[in-house]
Amino acid sequence: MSEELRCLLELQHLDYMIKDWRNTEMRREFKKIGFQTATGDPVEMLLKKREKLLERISPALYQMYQRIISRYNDWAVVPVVNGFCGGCFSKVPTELSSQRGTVNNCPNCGRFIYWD
Amino acid sequence: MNLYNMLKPECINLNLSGKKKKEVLEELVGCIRKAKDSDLLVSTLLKREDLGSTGIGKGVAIPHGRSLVADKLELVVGRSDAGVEFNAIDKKPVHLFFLIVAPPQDPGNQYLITLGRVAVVCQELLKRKRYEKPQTSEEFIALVKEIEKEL
Repeated sequence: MSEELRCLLELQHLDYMIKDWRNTEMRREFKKIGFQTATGDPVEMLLKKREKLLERISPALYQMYQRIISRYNDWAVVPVVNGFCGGCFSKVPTELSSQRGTVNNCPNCGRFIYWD
Repeated sequence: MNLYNMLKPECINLNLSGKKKKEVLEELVGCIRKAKDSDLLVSTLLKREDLGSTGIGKGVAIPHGRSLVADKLELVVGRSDAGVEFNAIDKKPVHLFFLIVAPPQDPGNQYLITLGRVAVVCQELLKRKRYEKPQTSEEFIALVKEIEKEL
């Protein structure tokens, strides 16, 4: 997996976390269970980590990531499982698998793909 | 919803050897067979720990996170006899771990429900240190089943 793709995956994981911490029901449950947070707002802390991570992602790729997220409202980076895109479940052309080291997009849905 | 139905023997490690937070998280993640991107998942879990430890005291920690590594909710149990320094709220070493990994899309909000259920079951497991008794994964699942029937 290329470094850029790995960064995009990290970004996606951070975005899941930010979404959860913005969810008031989730935060209430976290508190009820007894999870304590360090001083400061968790969302702010995560946003800082996100900003730092963005330094390692090219603006063009980030723009594409944002566009995919806003279009599908779920995930932008997905694994290829048994030859199928993990986002739209369409068959990924086999010739793409020979370019595993580079950043690739599903020809059908445009999501970033990596081989599981 | 019952935890014992979700527990799989291969996802229970009653002899954790890790001494540090990262080592233990790696061991727990390693139990999920599909975790090919395990280092990424460990890094996500560590980022969650940066926000505040998931060690809720009395020797229990419930690390959790979302990842595409999981296509369904995964539950992993770990036990460390020696205890692990996990920066828990009571600063005591952690002996019992419940790792929860959920897929990003979670229609029934299973993630939240499972977190709550784990917290309740943990309280029971802690009573008279019941969690220390099982010697095998199957015995641990049987104990969780017994506890959930009592609830």
